[in-house]
Amino acid sequence: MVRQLRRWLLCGLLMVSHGGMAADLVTTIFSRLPASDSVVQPFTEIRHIAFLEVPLISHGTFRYEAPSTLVRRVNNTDETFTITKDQAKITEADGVTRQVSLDAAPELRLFSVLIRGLLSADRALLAGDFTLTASGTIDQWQLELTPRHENRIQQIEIVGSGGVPSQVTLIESGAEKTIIDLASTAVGVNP
Amino acid sequence: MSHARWPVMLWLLVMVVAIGYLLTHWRMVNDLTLFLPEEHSAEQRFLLHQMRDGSQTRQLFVRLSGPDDASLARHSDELAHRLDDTKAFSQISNRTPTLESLVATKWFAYRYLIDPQFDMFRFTKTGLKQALSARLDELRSPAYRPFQSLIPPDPVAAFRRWLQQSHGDSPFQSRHGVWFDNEERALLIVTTEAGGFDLDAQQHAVTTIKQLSERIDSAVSVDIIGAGVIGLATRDTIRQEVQYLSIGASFAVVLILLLAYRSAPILLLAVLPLSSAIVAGMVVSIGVFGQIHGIALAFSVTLLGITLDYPLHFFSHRHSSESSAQTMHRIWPTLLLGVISTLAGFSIMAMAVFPGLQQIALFTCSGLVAAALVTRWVLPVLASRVSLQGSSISALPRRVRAPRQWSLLVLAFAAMVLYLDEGVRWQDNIAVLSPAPERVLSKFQALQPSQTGSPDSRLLITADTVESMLQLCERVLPQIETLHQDGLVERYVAPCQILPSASRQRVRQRHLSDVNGISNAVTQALHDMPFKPTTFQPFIDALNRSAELEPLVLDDIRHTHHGRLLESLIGKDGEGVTGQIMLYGATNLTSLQNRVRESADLFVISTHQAAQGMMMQFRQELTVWLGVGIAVIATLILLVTRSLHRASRVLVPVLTATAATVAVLRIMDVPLTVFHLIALMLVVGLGVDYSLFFQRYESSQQRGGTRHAITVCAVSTGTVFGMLALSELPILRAIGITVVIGIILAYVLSYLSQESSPANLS
Repeated sequence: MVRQLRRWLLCGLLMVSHGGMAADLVTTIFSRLPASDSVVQPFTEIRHIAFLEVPLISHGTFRYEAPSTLVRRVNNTDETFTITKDQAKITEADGVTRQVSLDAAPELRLFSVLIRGLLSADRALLAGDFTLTASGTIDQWQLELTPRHENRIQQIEIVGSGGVPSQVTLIESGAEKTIIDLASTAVGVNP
Repeated sequence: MSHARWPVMLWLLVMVVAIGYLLTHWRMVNDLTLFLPEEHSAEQRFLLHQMRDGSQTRQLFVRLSGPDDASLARHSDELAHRLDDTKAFSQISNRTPTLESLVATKWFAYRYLIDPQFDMFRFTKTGLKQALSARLDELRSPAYRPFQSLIPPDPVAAFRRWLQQSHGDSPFQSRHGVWFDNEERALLIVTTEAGGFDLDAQQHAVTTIKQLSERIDSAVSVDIIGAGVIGLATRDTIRQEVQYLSIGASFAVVLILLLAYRSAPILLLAVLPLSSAIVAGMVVSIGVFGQIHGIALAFSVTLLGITLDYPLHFFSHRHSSESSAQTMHRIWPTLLLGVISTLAGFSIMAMAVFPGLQQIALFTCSGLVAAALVTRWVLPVLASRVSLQGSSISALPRRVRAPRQWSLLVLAFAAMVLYLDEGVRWQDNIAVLSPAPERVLSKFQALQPSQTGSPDSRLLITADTVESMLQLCERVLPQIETLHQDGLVERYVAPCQILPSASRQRVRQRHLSDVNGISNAVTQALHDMPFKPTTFQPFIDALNRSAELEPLVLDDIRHTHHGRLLESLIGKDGEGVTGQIMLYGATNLTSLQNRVRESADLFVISTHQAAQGMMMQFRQELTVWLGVGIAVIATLILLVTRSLHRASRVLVPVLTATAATVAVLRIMDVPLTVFHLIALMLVVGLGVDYSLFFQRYESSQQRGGTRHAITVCAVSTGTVFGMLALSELPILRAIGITVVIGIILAYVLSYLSQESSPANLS
């Protein structure tokens, strides 16, 4: 009985120390991620959608400009998101502008928070909508973002090395997922 | 019982019965719509319907301020649920509906019948191929991710098109799911069943909201604004003002009478005609209208202040050498002529376009008759034993010698002022009808959420039924779209964009009847596309169901977000249905009007211009009735004097005083409103009264009495209306300023126009 209790205590201590290490790792990862007011990040997006027989692949760049502008360029067409508090102004490739309440489009909200938070290394912004946990080492880390509120995006996994995130996976409901490969290093301006 | 006392006994009996009637039938209301004019044309009917019962007048904006957005959002939801549970409101909104909630409504099932850009091409192989390619492109964009789940049941994006054109977006920013205004306050819009002018219902609504909001976190403060709240604040101001003014006026009049007569019994007797007039006015108003309006009561009592003059004439003319009956007999013809003149003036208000003014007219006219009867038959009996010792009648100055042409000089001056200042300046802004003080209006206008914009103009569609209105809307919509393309209209909101007519829905059902053909087209369109073959089965199922649906009508969707939006664009009354197409950024109203003039059922109105036009029409009508009133008085005096010369001696000072009052108001830069016109009518009534007495054939001793009577009358009336001129309420202020200026001028001009051989008006 006493031996069993010791075993449980040991497990508890290990879990606590692991959690403490994970919290430290999150801090370390964000301290390594480059923070800049303006950054351009190339990407390849692979979307696995339930009603498509093959994944949907797009190549493009994200351009982030502080405090709240995110431009997503795919196949040489620009789609600009300007985020102001809870509103997103979306200028589509054909120049049509739409105003979307991020509260009414929670997926869009999480997506914009994710990319902005990652490119600007803004942990506080991410922590507003996700709980953050990390595993691995600083040389080979995995960051897990779980939405604080129920959403079609169930979890986001980011893998990276040092201050460079390499892949983002959005796990969505209905066994769908989106993989964003951040193949090349982001180009920062005004670091 | 003495034979002479029967009028007193009869008066007492009538008063007892009247007070008993009032105690059992008393009903006072505060519905401000009584002070809106009755409509004439379809545009006016619509405009006034909007003012009385329009959704904007029924909306209360409830705003929560507190420590942080998250807790405010939570409290907003909590309050919305509590308010909803009361079932006392027609609508409680604090958030824009999500796409998921909209998909759950009937609108989604009808997506192919309500598509604003329905085109059978979309259901052909080529059209479907184009649509599927477009959806594939959209799947690459996170901006369209919210609509991803709609692709299988709606690959042609009919519902999305309807959402974009049905104007269901909220003008408010959303945080934590609920609305916030620009000042960081959580915002709920509560729509009451009753109109904004039904103050008792609005009071109940505000009390309910306050009671329920008190149960939420004490750190959260709640304030409510809206047309109903403005109405309540106005009512409170009116109550306070009437209370202060009544006390102040009563005190001033008591003081003046005590100074003038130095007799407490005379003071008591002097108020009998006035109090009888008020009781009579109340009884007749309740008898005819079944109720009395609070503001009508206040204004009527104010106007009936004139009846205080009747006993003053009597007391000032009394002297010890004759009995009270003889005094009354001596002055009665002139007094009666004055009463009839004032009656003519007040009865003009019955012709007014405001039911509230009609009530005031009936109240004051019946009051005048009652006061005249009491003065004539009751007062002499009761006053027969009152001593005149101590009266200061003889202390008044004698007539000042002055040129008789004074009136003509003043008339010339008034004409010159009006000529040089380009005539009378009118204020035709419909806002002047509002009894709300500027302080209250500006306070609430500043608090109104800035996001709630109103259209520049509206295209009104009149029809017998909602269905025929929607059909007409569908016919005119291409024209509006052309105007939009031509840059004449920035954007527009039309009822048929939200709900197409049933006949149009049936036509679409017929077009979509070949579901097998569309199913084959889908199969062909899927060739070389990455979609799984069974992806669009929900689309085919929906088309099958669409063919069997009964067309969607307003009653089916009334309680949805878009249903309420649609209802706000439709007005119903006994004469049919009026739909409105809101035109925003309309730059050329005349061109718009010309383009839609082809149909008798369509009207383009600018809300502002239409309101101004309506006010101008009402004012012109009232001006005509003012002229008629003066003509009636002039004819009456001409008939009594049987001499043009004598009649002119009575009338010239009065008409000069009226014209000069307008000139003085012009110099003071006060634009005239309908209320100034009503006040001018009162000036004519009072002026005629003064002039008639000044022009009476009298001995020098009687002249002293006349001067005393009219001076006391003018001073007391001037004091009462002078107090009104200081009021915060625009209507009371307009009446007060006009009457004070008019009384001073009428008194001075009538006084100076006395002649050594006056007109025989006895």
